[in-house]
Amino acid sequence: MKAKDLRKKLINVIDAIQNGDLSPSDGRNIVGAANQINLSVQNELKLMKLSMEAGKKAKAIGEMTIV
Amino acid sequence: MSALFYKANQDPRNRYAYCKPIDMVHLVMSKVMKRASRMGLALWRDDVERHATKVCKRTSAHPSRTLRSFMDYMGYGRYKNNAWDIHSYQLEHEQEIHSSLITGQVIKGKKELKHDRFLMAMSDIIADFRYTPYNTRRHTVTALSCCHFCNKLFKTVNFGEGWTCKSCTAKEQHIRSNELELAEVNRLTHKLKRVIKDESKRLEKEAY
Repeated sequence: MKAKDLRKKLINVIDAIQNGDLSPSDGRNIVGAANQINLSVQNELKLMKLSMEAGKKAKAIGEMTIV
Repeated sequence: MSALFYKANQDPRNRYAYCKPIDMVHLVMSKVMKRASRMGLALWRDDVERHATKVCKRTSAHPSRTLRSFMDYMGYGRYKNNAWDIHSYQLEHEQEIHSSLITGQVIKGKKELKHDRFLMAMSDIIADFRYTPYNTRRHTVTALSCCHFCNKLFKTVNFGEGWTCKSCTAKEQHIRSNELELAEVNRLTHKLKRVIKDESKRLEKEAY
């Protein structure tokens, strides 16, 4: 999934809630998931920046080893 | 080598008149190499130091610092009694391929130093001229460098305001564009939160 797809999905959710097709409680769950995605991308970007400052080769987004 | 320097170099009186620092270092070091090869030496530290001191005094705003980095990269080597006496080389034990390491390996393996490899190894030393103040530099300066980010040799250009590293700049821009995308997604998420809040308030009012 690309960033534009995520944005499109969020806009669709906004529209669905405003039209009454989706309940606010479902919307809250979606917000929680979106927040988690944002947080993970933010962390990877921070790692990329740090590795660049340290003079090491940075990995592409989504390639970070977790464990 | 610049065309201006080539033209000026035809006349021995103008030998050092118009050359850029990079030209000067190349010229002096090629002289050193020619002399060393005539004598069957790959590296003769005393001679290199003598010439390097001259170059650094003439070209660098920080001669001592330039000379130190110069000699660190050159290492220590002397051909004695038909055997190489090599004491130490900087970055000798590092895993990554580095221009100065290549030089060291070439000396150790083949017992001779190739001219182009040597000039490549000099690129890091030449890059030290970035400390030269702007008013003393009349031309743009180019040099080969080894990028620590992508481990590739590339040309750096100094337009008088600082060294530009194209590959590293590209990576920075990539990170920046990702950050902008992330900020946009964050904004949308906040908007979604606001919409949910408004919608739940409206539903509560309707329920009453």
